[in-house]
Amino acid sequence: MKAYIIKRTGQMILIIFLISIFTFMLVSLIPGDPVYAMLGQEVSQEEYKRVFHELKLDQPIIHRYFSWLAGAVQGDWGQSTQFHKSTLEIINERIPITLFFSISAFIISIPLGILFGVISAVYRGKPADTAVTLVANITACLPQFWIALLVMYVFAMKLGWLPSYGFTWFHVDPVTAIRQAVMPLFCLALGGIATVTRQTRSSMLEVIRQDYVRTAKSKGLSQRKVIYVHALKNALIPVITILGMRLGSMLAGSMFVESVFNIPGMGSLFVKAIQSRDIPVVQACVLVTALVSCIINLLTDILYAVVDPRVRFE
Amino acid sequence: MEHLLELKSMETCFKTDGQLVKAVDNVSMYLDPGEIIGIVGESGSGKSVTMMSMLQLIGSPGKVTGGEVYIRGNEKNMLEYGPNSEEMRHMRGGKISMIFQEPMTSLNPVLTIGYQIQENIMEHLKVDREEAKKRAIEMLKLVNIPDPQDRFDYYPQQFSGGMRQRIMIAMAMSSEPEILVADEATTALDVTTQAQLLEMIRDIAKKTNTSVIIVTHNLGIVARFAERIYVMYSGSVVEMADTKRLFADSEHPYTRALLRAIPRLDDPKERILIPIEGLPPNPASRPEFCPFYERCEYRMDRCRECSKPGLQEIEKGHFAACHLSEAEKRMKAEEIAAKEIKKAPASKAGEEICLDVKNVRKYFPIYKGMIRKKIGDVKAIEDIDFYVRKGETLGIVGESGCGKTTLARCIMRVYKPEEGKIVFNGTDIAGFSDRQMHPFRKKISMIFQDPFSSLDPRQTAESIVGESLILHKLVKNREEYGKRVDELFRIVGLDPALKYRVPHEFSGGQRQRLGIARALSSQPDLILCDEPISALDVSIQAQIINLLEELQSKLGLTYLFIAHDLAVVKHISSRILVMYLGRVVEIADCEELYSNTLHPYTRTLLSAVPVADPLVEETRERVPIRGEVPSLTNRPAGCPFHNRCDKAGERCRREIPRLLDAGENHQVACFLYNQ
Repeated sequence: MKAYIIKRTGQMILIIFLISIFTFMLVSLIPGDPVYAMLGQEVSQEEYKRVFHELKLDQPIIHRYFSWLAGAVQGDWGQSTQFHKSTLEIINERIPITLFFSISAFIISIPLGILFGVISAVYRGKPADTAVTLVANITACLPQFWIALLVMYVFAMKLGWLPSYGFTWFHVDPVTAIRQAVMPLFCLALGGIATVTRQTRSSMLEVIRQDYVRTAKSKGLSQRKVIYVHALKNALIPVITILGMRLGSMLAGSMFVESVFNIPGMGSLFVKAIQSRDIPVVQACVLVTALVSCIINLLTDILYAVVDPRVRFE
Repeated sequence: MEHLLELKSMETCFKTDGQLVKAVDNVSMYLDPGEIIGIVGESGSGKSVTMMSMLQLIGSPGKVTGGEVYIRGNEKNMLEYGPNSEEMRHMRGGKISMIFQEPMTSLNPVLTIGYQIQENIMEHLKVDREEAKKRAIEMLKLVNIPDPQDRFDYYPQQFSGGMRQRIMIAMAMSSEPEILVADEATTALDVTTQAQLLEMIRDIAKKTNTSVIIVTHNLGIVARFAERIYVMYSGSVVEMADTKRLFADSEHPYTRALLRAIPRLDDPKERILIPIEGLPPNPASRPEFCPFYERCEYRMDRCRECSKPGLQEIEKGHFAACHLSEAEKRMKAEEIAAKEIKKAPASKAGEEICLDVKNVRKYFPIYKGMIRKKIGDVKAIEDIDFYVRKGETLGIVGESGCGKTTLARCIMRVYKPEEGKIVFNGTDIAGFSDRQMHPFRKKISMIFQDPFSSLDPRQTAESIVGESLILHKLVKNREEYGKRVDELFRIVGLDPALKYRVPHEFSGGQRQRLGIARALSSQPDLILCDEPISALDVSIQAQIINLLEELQSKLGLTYLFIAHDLAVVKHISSRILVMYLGRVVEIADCEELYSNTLHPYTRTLLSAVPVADPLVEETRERVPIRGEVPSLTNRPAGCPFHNRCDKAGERCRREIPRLLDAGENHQVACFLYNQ
């Protein structure tokens, strides 16, 4: 198990390294001159040269990469051209908000998704299953930003129950914080619930037919034990894969949802940085997102080994 | 006397295509305390479904639609309680435990075996966790699991198939049940493991006075272990009698036909298998009259006109479901006996050698780590030496993992052996490239084990059979192709009109015929039959065995017949080769091998096979075998069999015995003889 974690961590470091190369290359990949992008088209020759030199664009690319990497490792990700602040500082402000939304939505969606999935698998073909499957299928297809706009239109504009934008930390103003968080969380969690429900249902149906479930039933165990101890633990193995992917797509979803609800998180920062070609921030956002995704994947794989002993002994 | 368990008029239906199909039709049976009974029948006869119905384990789309189940100590019909009621759950697992067919999948892979046994004990014996653990470990000890204390926390996949089935037995017995149902419990296992397990079940049952129901398709097993037998056919019990009477004096035409269709280990060489023609009726279109009518040799017009016969007591304790009277049956039996039975003339093996395998070795590398470093070898087969004459059948027997299939694949040149010669019709093909091999491919073909997965589900029967005709340019035009395919269909006894169907429209036996037609299409000299009948029902097996024998004498084919069923191998082969752990341990002519068995492994193997005759079983000497087949990566030094052999000496632990002549065309690899 220990060797397994070490091996996976090693692979993760390799992946991050490759992504860092790609991220760095972004500067050269983006169309247009980074200096113009930073300062606008009307700059004097001297100004251009100064910034060109400041950005170290006159040095060889390998050299630039390693000095960039050295800086990045130490937390020096350069100055944001848009906010005129250090990128690290901006990321530090934004990241907790996005993590708060992603993780809360994630935590809400898993138990609900699993519960709905189990219900619809156990009552296969009955009205409960039909209803759950129908709703899950529809919601899984709806684009997140569309749901965001819809709930905003209904609850903020028509009914006026909830504020349409903004973010407040819970410890600052609990009431406002909850009122502001309800809609974004709902939008972020909905897709997760639908996907987890569908995956749980199908893997549960698969597992219920297995011989060991028949064995468990033949032992005279109660229906509850058969389903929650014997079947569910097996059915959750494919669900874990979905969970890892879900958390990744939550980060992607935060871009839309944060933009719609005007929440100052990583998602909206990313969108803004791309629009204004704020390269240091884009680089930082890509790197942070990659890092988070890799950590999630690592956790997923470890979780696999915890749930499924077959992985452990391979 | 009050019975321990009684089923009355059980009826179970399955809903398929909106139609209710009776899988179990009016089945009644009983079981007395301490008794071991057998339920035999082919697949689809309803034997397992009856057991599952009794325990209310039938899931949708099946439904128990009628009947009564009584168990001693409870006045009420158990079927009146719901499937998840307290009473039913107490009976299921508490009073009646069940062991299933597939040991590899019957235990939950994500829970430790200890937990799974403990759970059963806590549920039924109402003891606390500690107490349950103690008992679980005791149970593991009882079924001979080494180091039960440590193994308690192991997961199922850390055990071999035989061990898992022992764990299943431990679990089933842990709740102190009154009845143990073994539903094809040993079917998936090797013969020696099978014998070990069934003996264990019997010993434990006798010690604890538990009654046992053995559900199986294998008549040998019930002959050896059961005291009383129910024979089922197409959802009904057709005959019931105590074991000796059933085998000595069977009454129902189906039972009689079965006994004539199965090969036995103690058969004389010239015994003719008489297959039961046709197929069991499809339950959806089962006739109103006797379901065996269509295939029955005893049938009379009366059988068609009357409704389905019920069980009648013929003599005390012997029931059969047949309309015919004793006198009528006797008359018919004489008629049948008088009928001339044509046996394919035994093919004459010439002196010419068709295949000569010398010193063949095949290892599979084991890789590990990210850079796939080679860390060792799976020594699949080593020092393989044998020859096959033209027109003869060489049987290859051995348990799973002994290298039979690897050997076949080396001869087919799917694998390239690391070392050795494979001389086929005078040419050494061992080192040939694919291109060099091409002209030889059509001369060696193969019949596969599983007729369900070895045929492409999307190809029509015609193109399956005709593929190699085109591949090897054996036909000139479309017309000739059609003619040849029709001819091949007829040769294997299929109607050429069926050739536009796809495999799933055929029955198992028909599919195997297709497989044979495919193998024959390129007019091969040598056919490798890799367990060609083990996936088929007993009544169909005889048809295929006879077909293979007939084809051999007609076409002068040479067979390599690989199987684990020794009775079948003995029936079809002229010589037999026994393999153990990748090595040849004994080769001899068929009769010689069975009458003068030399190698200790062959001896245990033969004695493990039950014979479908309780009288023979009683007098047979049993050679017990200990332990399990070691894995190929962990092959013992010296003789591969030494750690399971009673006669092993110091030399066996050090040296590998070579295959040497022991006279009478008999070769054996054992230090006890000639070395």
